Parts: sequence; structure tokens; C-alpha cells
Amino acid sequence: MQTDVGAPGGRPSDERATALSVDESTPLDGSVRRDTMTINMGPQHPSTHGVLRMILTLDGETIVRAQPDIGYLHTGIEKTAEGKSYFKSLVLTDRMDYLAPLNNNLGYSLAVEKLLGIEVPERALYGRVILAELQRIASHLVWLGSSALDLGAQSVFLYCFREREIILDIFELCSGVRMMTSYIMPGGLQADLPEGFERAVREFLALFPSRLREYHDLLTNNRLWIDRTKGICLLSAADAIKFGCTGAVLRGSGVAYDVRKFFPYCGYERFEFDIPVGSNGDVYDRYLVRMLEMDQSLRIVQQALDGLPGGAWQVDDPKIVAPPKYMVSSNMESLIHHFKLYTEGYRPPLGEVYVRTESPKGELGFYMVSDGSAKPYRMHVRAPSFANLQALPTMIEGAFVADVVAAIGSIDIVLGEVDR
Amino acid sequence: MADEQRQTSGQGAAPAPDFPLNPLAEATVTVLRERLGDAVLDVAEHRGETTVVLAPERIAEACELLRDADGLRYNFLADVTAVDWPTREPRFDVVYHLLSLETRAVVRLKVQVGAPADAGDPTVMPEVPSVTGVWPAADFFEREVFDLFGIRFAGHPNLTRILMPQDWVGHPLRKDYPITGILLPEPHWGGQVPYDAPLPPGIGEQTLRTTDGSEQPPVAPRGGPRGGDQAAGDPYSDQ
Repeated sequence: MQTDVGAPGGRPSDERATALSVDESTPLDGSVRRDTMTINMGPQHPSTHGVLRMILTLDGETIVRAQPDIGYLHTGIEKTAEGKSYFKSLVLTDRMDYLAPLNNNLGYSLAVEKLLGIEVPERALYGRVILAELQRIASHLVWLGSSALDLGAQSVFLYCFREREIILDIFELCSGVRMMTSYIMPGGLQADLPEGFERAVREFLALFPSRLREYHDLLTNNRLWIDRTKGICLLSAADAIKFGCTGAVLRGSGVAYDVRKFFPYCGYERFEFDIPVGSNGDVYDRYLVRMLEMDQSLRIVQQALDGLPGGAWQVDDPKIVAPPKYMVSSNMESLIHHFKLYTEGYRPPLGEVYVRTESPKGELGFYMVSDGSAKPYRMHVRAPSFANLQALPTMIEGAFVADVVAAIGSIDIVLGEVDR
Repeated sequence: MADEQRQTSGQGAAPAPDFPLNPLAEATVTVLRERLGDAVLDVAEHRGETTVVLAPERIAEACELLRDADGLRYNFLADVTAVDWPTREPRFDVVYHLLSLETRAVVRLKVQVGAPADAGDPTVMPEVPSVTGVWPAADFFEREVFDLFGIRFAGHPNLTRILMPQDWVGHPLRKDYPITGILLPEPHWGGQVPYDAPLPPGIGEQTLRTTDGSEQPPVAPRGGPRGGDQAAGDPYSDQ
């Protein structure tokens, strides 16, 4: 998208572009300066983590004004969900934050379960916690690798993806799919945790702390890394709250808001873990918060794995989860349930719920309205990246162009989630 | 670590889950009733969540009140969205999810605006006061509601489309928005074509090139750059 149409003399396309494409920009104090330049960063810029477009007004190397422009990845997931049964909408949630599909599945499943008023068995609960925390580590690894790559630390990227692959192998073991698993579903899990799951997770738990130390060795005390991140793109606690930031962006600014502690869901109140918080609210603090969060996720996985009970992994209600295949071919009632579930789905009672969960990016909220039919009347996703992005202009105004890359990396946005 | 009180197997009848009410929900409703009186139209509870329906014109005032109320301090706006009930009067729910990072209070506020789909002038958008003055976080959320539902927020500093292209016609999350068979402007320019002004020469015209490399004379786009039907002012006339 360009702000001007055609050659010189072209007309700006809309009100917003008019405000942005004139060659003088208005600084905050209201004076007019004519020595600034407005440029596009993105939407195809490699460090914008997808298709984020930033309209930057520059005074030399310094950013006077920044405005994010989003929507390039808008796929209308909320609208699509209105036309599908609850069961089918699940796969849409995988594709929002595509770096953490299991956390999206979990948020969606909890919302539908709350609408239905059901509770899943313990094994599903523990399995969900293990998977969600592994997914958090996997998501943080992509963030670490790519944001370090943006700032020139190329080797970190390779190491991070090596470890992420181990986690994706575990997901593949469970669901047959590496990324878009849809493994956590309303009513429990798609299938029982497989044989070898526990061993695979324990192997990862034994391996990962040493790898995490390697990352710390590479970056945490690295002079180049500190120069690029410390004191850069500050965000005060008050601003972070004001702009609706959550996750590591808010915690990096020193506010200890973690949904897992504040409003425990899925049995998180049973596990011991800490919330790392930063103090300065700079890129380095957000980096440290996520690094320490990986430690805490490991602790949770360890505890959940030790407490993992046997038994059922789905609710015992054939109206919500399909009966096993062998029963469908031998039992009339199961066949009917199977048919009804896949052709029509279940009908939650009239009502509305808002379920918040802590995704790797921050507070992921699902607002679901049921009109008593088999399709969600409305599904709204409160995407953490969407809200976190609002703080970006405040962070980078007054900074250098090179710091924009650091800032975008540090808020860890996923455009699939921002645009939905 | 595992809670002994809980069953370890879900086989058989699952225990009925309880959804406890937020401890500060009652205090929130009391504050709103005391200070706003008749503007509190309804209070509902579902699955432990409290919803307060307010008069639309008082929403910004109510938000400011809750943000500053002692013992509540709703300092965080988690979400703003809307729900379309096309046959109902008023048509839209605008929904606010409030949260306090200090007291852990949560509440859902709701205002109802707009005429039903088949009544009134469809080009007139319903209007709600903006809460960007209370929490700047509302900026993107309100723009999203404006873009996808066509609800205006009075006092919003930059109420433009955020997800859809700037020249998009219609509001996709409205229930009467067609989910298929939309006539796109031809060709669709994705926000590059001005609404009214004549186009610069060459823009919007198609040059047809045949397989032997010769060019046909340029063809002007049908019905102007934005497509005939949209230009006529009826976004759904194609249906």
C-alpha cells in the first residue's frame, strides 16, 4: 500500500494518508517542521515479524512520529467462526497465534467449556498444562531466535530452532501434527497422551536447562547485546497499563500481572511458580523476563508431569465428545451420537462468557456469546499482540530507526493474531 | 501437590463446576447504582461473570468513575467489542471488559445502541462516547469495532478503519453482511483509490496485452474505479 497514488500530483487515498503523506509532520509540541521525512517500514520488511507496516516520520535518524498500520493478514476468523459449529471453529484458533496454537486451543476450549458448564477430567487438565507450558517455551524460543537475529546475533537463531524442534516432536507424538495441532479441544484432549509422551517430556526437561544456560551465555552478559537493548525503547509501568499491554511487555515494566496467578484456570493454582518482573521497562528487561519465564515453565511442566494422573482424558459425555470409533461400528446409540455431533454439534445454553488465559504473548481473552444454537453467535478474540502493539509508538518515538527493530522484537507480536 | 479433594478420574458423572462470583462484583454494582442511578439499566450474572448494562451516553462517565473508585480501581481496559442483534431494538451491544490490576476486580459493562436493521437509515451509524480519554488502550479496540461493526465513537482521536482497507464498503461483522458473493471494486485497489476525485491518467485503466505482444487500447474500469454498484451507494445491491 502506498500513501500516494501514482506520480507527483497523485492524490492521497484517504484521510489518514492525507495526514501522513504531507511532507511536514507535526511534532508533539504543535510546532511545524519541514525537515522531516515520512517513510514506510514494512509490510515486507524482514524484521517486522510478519506483515506489520510502520509509517515513520524521521528527523535524520530519529523517529519523530510512528504509526503502525495493520490488517494485511486479516482473515476474518471471528466472522468465519459464526458460520461453523463449535467443534469446527477450533481449527481456526490454531491459525491466530501460529507460534502458540496450543495456547489458543486452550483459551478457546476453556471458553466453550464455560459456556457448556462442564469440567474436564484431571488427566486432561494436567496434560493441557504440560502442553501449554511447552508451547510457551517453543514460542519464546522463536521470539528469542528471531529477535536476536534482527539485532545481528545469528547463531542464537539456529540453536533456538534446534530446541524448538524437540518440542514440536513431542506435539507430533501427541497429535500427528507439528504445529497446527488442535490437540486441546472442548471437552478434553483429542486423544490420550501417547505412550512415550512422559519419557519424551522428561528427556526435554533434562536437556533444556543446559541449553537455556547456553542462550544466557550467548546474550545475557554479551556487551553487544546489552548495548543494543539496555535503556532502549523504555515503557513505563503507567504507560504499559494505560495502553492495555499484557504479558512480558507489562511485566518487563515491573507490573506482576500474570493471568495464571491472578485468575488461575486449568489448575494453575496447584503449581508453584514465580512471575519474573523487570524494573526499567526496556528491551533488555523484556528479554530477561521471557528468558526467566522459560525457567518457570520448566518448573510447571516438571510438577505437572509428576502429578499426571491416569484415567479419562475427555469428559464422559457423548453429546460433547465423539464416542470411540470401535463403538460407533458396534453400538447403535454411539453411531447416532457420532452422527449428531459431526453434522450438528452441541448447543450450549444461552449466555456469554469471557475467558482470559495467559498466552506466551499476554492475556488472550475469548469472549463468546451463545444464542442457544450449535454455532457461536459471536466469538471475539482479545489478542494480546493487538493491544501490545498500541504501546509501540510510545516506545520508539525519540529512538533511532535501528531501535525500532529491537522494539518490535521485544514486544513479540504475531501478525496472525493482531489481524485475525 | 494434587488436591486430594478432587476426583482423579472423570469417568461417570462429572462434578458440576462452580463459577464463583468475583468478590468485588457486588461493590462495583453498588458504586454504579449509587452514582449513576437510572443509567444502570440492568445487572445480569452468568457463569460467575457480572454484566452491567448502562445507558450509552453515560458510559465514559461510568468508566471514569470505576477507574477512580476507592477499593475498586479498574485501571485496566482488557477489551472492547460489540455484538450485533439485527432484529432487536437497540441493535448493537458494545461490550467493555474491565479489570483492576490492584484489586483483581473484573466486570463487564455493556451499552446498547442503534436501530434495527430494517428500520431507520442504514447509512447513519449509531454513536457511543469514546473511552479513549479514560484508557488510551481503547484506541485500537474502538477502531476495530468501528471498522467491523460501523459504530462511531464520539471523541475518538483517529476513528478510521484498522483491519479492512480504507475504501472498504460495509462492516463485515454485522450479521447482515454477506459472507459470499461480494462485488469488489474492479479492479480492487486495496485503499489506493480516492473516493471522489477523478483518477490520475492511467490509474484504474486496464491495458490488455494479447499473446502476440500487441496491446489493445486501454479500457476504462466499469462504473468508475470502485465498481458500479458500490458507487451507486448500495453495498448489498449485488445480493
